[in-house]
Amino acid sequence: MPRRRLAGVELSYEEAAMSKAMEVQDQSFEALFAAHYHQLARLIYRVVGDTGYAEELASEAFWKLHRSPPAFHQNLAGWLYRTGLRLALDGLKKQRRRALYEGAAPGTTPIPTPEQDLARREEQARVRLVLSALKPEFALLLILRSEGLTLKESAAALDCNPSSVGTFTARAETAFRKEWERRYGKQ
Amino acid sequence: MENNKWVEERIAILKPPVAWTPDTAAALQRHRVRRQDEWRRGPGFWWKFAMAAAILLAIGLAPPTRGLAQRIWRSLTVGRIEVVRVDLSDLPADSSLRARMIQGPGKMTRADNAESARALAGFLPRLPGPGSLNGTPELSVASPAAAEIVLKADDLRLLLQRAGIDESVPPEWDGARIVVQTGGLVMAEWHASDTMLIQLSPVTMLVPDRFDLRAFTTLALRGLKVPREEAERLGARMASTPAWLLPVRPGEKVGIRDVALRSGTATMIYDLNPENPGRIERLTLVWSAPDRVYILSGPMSDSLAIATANSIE
Repeated sequence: MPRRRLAGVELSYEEAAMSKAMEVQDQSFEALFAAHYHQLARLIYRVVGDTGYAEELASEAFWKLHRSPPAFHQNLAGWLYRTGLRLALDGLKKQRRRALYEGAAPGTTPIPTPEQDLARREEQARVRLVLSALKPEFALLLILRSEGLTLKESAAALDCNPSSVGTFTARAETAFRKEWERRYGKQ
Repeated sequence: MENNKWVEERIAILKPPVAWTPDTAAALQRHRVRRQDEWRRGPGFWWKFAMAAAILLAIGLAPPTRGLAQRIWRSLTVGRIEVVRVDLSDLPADSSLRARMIQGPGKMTRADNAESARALAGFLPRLPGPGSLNGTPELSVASPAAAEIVLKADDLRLLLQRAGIDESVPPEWDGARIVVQTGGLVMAEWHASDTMLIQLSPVTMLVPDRFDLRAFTTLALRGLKVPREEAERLGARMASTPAWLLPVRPGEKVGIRDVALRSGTATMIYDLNPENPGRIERLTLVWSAPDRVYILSGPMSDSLAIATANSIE
């Protein structure tokens, strides 16, 4: 780490790190925000099931990008999706803990709903529970694919080779089904 | 059912409501506000602290009171800025070394345009040329401010003693009054880019004739645990060309370097993210011209800051 003195002030900064940080600043943060916030919030919704919370967590992912950008940031969108999903999974666990303390079943609402709606909510809660038990990369891939992203776009978000996404998807699906069956039995 | 189809159906149940559209514009606005709030609260706003606390050799030249009017004063123009790593928290709250405001700058007054700012501040603000910062800045003006130190030699002795420094303080320093005065200050703010340019006329400092500013500066800085060599160097420079000392706490995550402008050398100060020192939160460029001191601050690149500064003069 280069060190300098100026006016007797001990300087300690890493020029390379600074350059990287400046590159991030040079990119249009707001353009990135405009391009990806919408989709990121939708992806997060699939995990947390609450529109307001999904927007909050999507904003938090951008805040993390602003505060601590990745060291290598050729694919900031992918970094955002991964960060957003991790926040969502953490948020989901918090929601579950809260629900447990409150004596409520996960994902249900205290407001009485029609039976069909309740069944749907319970199914959503099960899916989210299974997703949260998977490797984050598997969960992210399944959600990305469900959101309609192409293999190429999913590969970019996961920062992996597009040619391996097919195999990776199959493994994620298998993992999902195994986890489902472990929890709820074969269907 | 095929595995992939079955999984897709399970995940599809998580689809967001059709009526819901994430509000990107509102989220972006919240992000901007958060950044601004964080900056104003956080260590990144150190220069504001510096302006308020430039204590020591601080700021200001008040009109001498009647009792002092007959004394001979030395008027020094502080047209230079120097950054010093110093922890002012070592200075007791009631120490006479803390500057006392004798004329506060009051609230910032909005100015509709540069001419209005001139009427309020007493000088015409210079703004960056076209192509540097986008948009029209909002101008506001602070009136002149003054602060004083009426030195109690015992306070300086105590400071030195606490720092473990065995040096004597001349008894004739007791009661010495140092007054510093800033002229008007104009602040131009580009809200969209979270950038501001402050300009103020040079600070004037009045010290009693024959007051040994060099020795005082050296001892005071040593009392604040600035290394001896550095304190002596700053003391010598202070005596020859008085500087406005900007205090930066020793642990503050900043990087500092000098950069060349067309008008001379400037100091570039990088506020680094405390959690990730490789990440620059914003930068501040401080430089002085013969008739003005400038502070440019914002989340911008070095090259933009330098180009902006060069476009002003």
